[in-house]
Amino acid sequence: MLGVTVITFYLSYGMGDPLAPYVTERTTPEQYEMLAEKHGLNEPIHVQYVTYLRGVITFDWGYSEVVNEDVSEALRYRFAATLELSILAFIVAVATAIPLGIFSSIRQNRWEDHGIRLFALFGSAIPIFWFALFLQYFFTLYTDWQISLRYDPILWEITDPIEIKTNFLLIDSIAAGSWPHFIDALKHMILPATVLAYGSMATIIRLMRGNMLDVLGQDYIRTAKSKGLSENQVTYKHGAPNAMIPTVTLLGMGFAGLINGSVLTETIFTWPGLGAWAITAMRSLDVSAILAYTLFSAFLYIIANLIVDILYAFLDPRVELGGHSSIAEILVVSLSILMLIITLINIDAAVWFGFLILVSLSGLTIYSISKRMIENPEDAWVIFLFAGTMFVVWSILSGFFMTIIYSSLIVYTGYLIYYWQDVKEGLGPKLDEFKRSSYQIKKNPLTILGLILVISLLSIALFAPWLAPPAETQRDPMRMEEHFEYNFNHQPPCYFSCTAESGEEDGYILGSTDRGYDIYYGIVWGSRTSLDVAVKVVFTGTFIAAVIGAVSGYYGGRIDDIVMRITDVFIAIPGLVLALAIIAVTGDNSIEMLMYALIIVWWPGFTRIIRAEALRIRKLPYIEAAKASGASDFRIIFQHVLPNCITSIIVIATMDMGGIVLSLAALGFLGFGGGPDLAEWGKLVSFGQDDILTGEWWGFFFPGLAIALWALGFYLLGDGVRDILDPKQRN
Amino acid sequence: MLEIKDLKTNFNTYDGVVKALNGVNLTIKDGEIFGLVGETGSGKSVTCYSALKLLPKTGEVVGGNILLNGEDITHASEDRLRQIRGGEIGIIFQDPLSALNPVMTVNEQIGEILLLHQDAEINKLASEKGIPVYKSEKWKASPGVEFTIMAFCISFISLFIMLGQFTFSLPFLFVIGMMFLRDYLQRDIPASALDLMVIDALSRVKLPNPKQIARSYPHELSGGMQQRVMIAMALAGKAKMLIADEPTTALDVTIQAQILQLIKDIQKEENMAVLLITHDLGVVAETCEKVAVMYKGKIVEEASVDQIFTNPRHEYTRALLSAIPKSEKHLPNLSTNKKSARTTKSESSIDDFLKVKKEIIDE
Amino acid sequence: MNKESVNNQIIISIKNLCKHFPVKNVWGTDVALVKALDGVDLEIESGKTFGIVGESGCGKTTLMRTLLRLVEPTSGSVVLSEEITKNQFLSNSLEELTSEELRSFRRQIGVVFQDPMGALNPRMLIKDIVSEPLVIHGKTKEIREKVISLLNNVGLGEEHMYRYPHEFSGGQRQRIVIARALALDPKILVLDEPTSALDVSVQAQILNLLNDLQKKYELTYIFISHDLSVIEYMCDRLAVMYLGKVVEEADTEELFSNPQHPYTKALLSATPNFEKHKEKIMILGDVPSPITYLDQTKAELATEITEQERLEIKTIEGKGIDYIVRSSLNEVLPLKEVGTSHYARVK
Repeated sequence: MLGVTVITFYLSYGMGDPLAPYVTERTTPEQYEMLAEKHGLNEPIHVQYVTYLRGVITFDWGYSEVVNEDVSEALRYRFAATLELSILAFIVAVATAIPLGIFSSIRQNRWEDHGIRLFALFGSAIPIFWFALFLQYFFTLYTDWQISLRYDPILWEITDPIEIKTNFLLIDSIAAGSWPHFIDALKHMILPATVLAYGSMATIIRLMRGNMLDVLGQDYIRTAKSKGLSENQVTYKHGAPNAMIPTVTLLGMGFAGLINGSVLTETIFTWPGLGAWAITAMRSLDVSAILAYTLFSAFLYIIANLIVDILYAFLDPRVELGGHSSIAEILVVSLSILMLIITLINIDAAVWFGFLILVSLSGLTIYSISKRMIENPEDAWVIFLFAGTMFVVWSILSGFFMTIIYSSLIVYTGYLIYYWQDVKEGLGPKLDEFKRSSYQIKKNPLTILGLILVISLLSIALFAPWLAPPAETQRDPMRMEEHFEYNFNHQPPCYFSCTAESGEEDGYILGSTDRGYDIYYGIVWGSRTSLDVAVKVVFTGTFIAAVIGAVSGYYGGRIDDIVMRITDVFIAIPGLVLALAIIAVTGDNSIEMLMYALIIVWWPGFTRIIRAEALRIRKLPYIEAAKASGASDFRIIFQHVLPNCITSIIVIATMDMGGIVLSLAALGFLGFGGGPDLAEWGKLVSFGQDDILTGEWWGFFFPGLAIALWALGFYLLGDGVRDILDPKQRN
Repeated sequence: MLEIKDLKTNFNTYDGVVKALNGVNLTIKDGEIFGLVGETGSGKSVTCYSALKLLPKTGEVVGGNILLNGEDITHASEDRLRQIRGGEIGIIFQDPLSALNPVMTVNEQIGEILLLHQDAEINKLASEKGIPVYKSEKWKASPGVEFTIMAFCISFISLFIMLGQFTFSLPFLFVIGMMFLRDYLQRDIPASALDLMVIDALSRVKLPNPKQIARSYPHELSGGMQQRVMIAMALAGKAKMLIADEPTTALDVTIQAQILQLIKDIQKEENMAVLLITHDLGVVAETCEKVAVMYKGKIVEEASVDQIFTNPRHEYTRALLSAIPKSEKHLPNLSTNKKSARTTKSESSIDDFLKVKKEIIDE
Repeated sequence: MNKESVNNQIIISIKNLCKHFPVKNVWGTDVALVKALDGVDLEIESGKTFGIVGESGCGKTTLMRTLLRLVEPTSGSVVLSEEITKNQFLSNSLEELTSEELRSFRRQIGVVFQDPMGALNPRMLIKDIVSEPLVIHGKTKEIREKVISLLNNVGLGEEHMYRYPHEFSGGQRQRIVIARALALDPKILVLDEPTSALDVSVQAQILNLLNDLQKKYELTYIFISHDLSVIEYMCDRLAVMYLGKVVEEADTEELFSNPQHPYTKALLSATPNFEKHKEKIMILGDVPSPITYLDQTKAELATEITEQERLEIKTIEGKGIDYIVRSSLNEVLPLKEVGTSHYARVK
């Protein structure tokens, strides 16, 4: 089974993908370079119509016109800068995280374990940009390291210039045999690399630890011990290699995380890489440049995954690369190659060809689905299901939500009343389960901490109007008020000793920003923003993912294939990049668009997880028993498959409440979403960013702290919930 | 050979302390085939794990003594235990596929135990034949993977050369170079002493193509072959006693017959002591000389195989025997009275004994 | 094939059932066929227990799944008797049923699976699990009483209705599975290794329960197992399967006292039992998989003796054990009548 997954993954990325135009770019990076140099043609109209996923070929040569510089040279330089940083970060992350994870699992539940887990938890919960600012603050104020540069210009350009061949400063330094250059480059790179690495490190540690614990419970570990091997030998020679395997598969995703993070890190440290360039492009809503960047990061991600796939096959002898494929895949491959050739000859023709393929593929898909529907009319409900899903999504986001909630509640109450007798008796065992779960919550202090954090934050959101009353003149409490009087800017926090000072206003509890925004106010009302976005996005996403994932996993076959491909494509693009691209392409900077963007980014990952669960459950005997009794597919999916996925769903949804807010904050920090005065934590942090150099730390610190606490709370809660609901994953 | 006196083992679980063994007494002589029978939860597997201290973290031995050839090993040091495991007592497990490490070849896994316990012999063999002690075939993956890596590297090298960025292609050249270097270095080395001994061990369990099997991974072999490999591995350290924990439960009946025959043959050849743990009384009847019946952490009856089947004393034993389908036919000598259970009644007096409400963790 | 069953009605007749799974290579073409079922003919008598014995890969599970229509056969047919069709079906061949008729068929055949852990949805209450078949077919009148009576039938009670599966032991879970299987008053019960995962004593209870139920409701059992002692106890007639074919078929007593086919003999010999002086026959080599390569050269190799077998012969020679080489079993002989109602594929 695992082999088949690797195979399809490998084939889709090594040989083809139903969205043919996308493929060609991936398989020939040289095309990209050559075209960028050669053509300065007008941007075609097609770009507007075809979404960025499919407009690959076209953007490619359109982009060169929009960015007015020597494209290929700038590209090479920036590309190298970003890549160098990412690779360094990746190496740092992997090299530290894997041993830490293994170590943590060996010393399970002892203080080393708890310490490492806490470290990992912080890594996940702390917003990267906050961490970066933190470091920047300390290093700017207390050392003389020049953070904002990639290298010391004096050394590299004036005193002792060396030949730069690859733009990888580290490599060039080695090539030129110059030690001081090497050190200098490293010195400048270390800080951003660490920041970048921390997030990935956290994930890898937890992954490795979990895998090791799983592996150490396996039979062959016992066999190894029974042969007379020492503990160390058993752990490192038998345990670790097996635990590495599932970790490696997710390393590709980890790389995507790095690309995500590089956007933020480069902005803060003004590292001259692709990420920073992309942000400038996005701020000016430069569509083609954004598309270029999106595609590029996807490309990098796919290469990373290819490498990971090979590594995986190398590590696990049970897996074989290559394998059976179907006619459809061969067709796709040949079409892609054809596309390639045509592109070489004539770009326009290639565009039309790509368009044609696209249309015909979509047509084919629609045709086969409808054919199937006609043949099995009872399966038509699938269409209704998808339509219904879309409807629910729309309603949630457009505020129609509450009506639905109310009506469902009414229906549910009616159901309860009608079946009261049943419900009453059924309550007994359910209460027992609940009691047992709550007992376990008490045993785990971290979960309680999480619960406290979450409840406090939610209460802040709820009681916002009382905690931070808006001024009477304010139209919308969510919009922060600007105070233009000079003496109210950059006020330091006065915490609890605020009294009326000069003028009519009290001092600011947590300080103010450069435009006189009250930070305390912003945080309190920002919690509402966070809650609003998190709930809507998570709710919608969960709904979509549950439905699509369960249906796809249960049916397998062609439906599954299609869904998998689609999610593959979405996942290939690092989340932040994708969200930014969507915002840029639609040109809509409102908070609603932000939510849509986040949903689009978020749903594929979740869907894949649920699909995997559904696949697993599909094989269990009780499903067969239901089928043998004559149950319809609909019934099986909703009565049997989904309820058994609930555990995963709840855990992931909880943790993602935290994660979504992190993404929201990142976008806000970069300046996107909801206009410049919406009370949103990420935005607040960005306001405080420039103040660091003058030592005014409260600008970025408090909002960032809020973000971190929110994320931390939900992660802890999610972890705890997982421990409770799934006894297998205890410890 | 092995003497277990009044052994008590507890497990600390989330639901409280579980007393898996409540004073087990067992004596196995040299060269004897001893069967240990019991149902789930009786503690039969826990007994042997306790003896070799292979219990999971939640288990601990809280009382009793274990004597190996007269030596008290109940509180033996970890070093001494490691010597015993594999070197003096070998153990094979129930499901051979999960009991073998999936990412190591058979050669590596058997080689490990040889290195631990047969070090002197390996060196002797090496010097006699003038061959290296062992060679490593690591860093080599299956042909498909090798090919893919090669293709990958070559395409990237050509790509970068075309781009004029020669330096980028260096790492890939390096990779290819390493692959060739490795192949060259491992090219013509004759089998090392370790390899030879592994092949020898595999032939002892009647595997016809030991060289091929040594190179294989566990999942490439059939169930019967895997179990043979496990047996070979367990005995590679020249152990004088074999503990077999439900060795055939996961296998097909005809393969089961082969494996049992194999165990009998090896036992005779080497005059080993064998402790065969199973829930299947039929297996015991065919293979063992003596048998002990366990129930809820205690031995309730111990006798020679003939005796037990013709004249069981303890009521549990009787109940167990009569629960076998068609027991009237197979065990006509089983003297019963009306009160004891027969499979013709749905309410059997086994119920009195078997109120197994909670399944005791039986590793 | 002319078989006259004098006393009893045939409730289901399986004719030349085949199920082939194709194995494809990289290019999507077939290189081999896994012949899980390769022409199976059986006649199941009403009210009796018919056993199917074999090892892994023999096709017994596929047979069950084909019967239950969880999988479509490649060819052949399953003919339903009047007892099932009640003369209301357009055709009495399982393949040709309409979906309505299929639903009716499903009501009349119940399943008991091997693994009591996996057979029950861990998130459903017992009451919901047992009543599910009733709900699916819309028979919701007095459902509560029905559930209670079903549970009582298997030795459980009303107090068990509102519990979850994990609160029960293996034996009890199997009882619940049986209760569910009987929910719609089926005529046939297919049991796939129902006691293999249970302890011996619990096994005895369950087998007795099954016997009682059979008598009470005049059920027909199709009992699949690899355990010959259980089969001997439960079944009236049985068939031995090997590589997708029935190699021997007879009434139970006849087969056990007078086995004809070498595989049957080996199977009987391999089953550990208490007879010290029985004939010892060992079968060599590994359990084969029913895969046929379409490439002729590979197909032919399958009948040669393997290295493994040669080696094993050497080890058993002179020990008073007869041996059978697996490759000799690959030869396909037609079924021959070797006794009263006793058929085997022998020369």
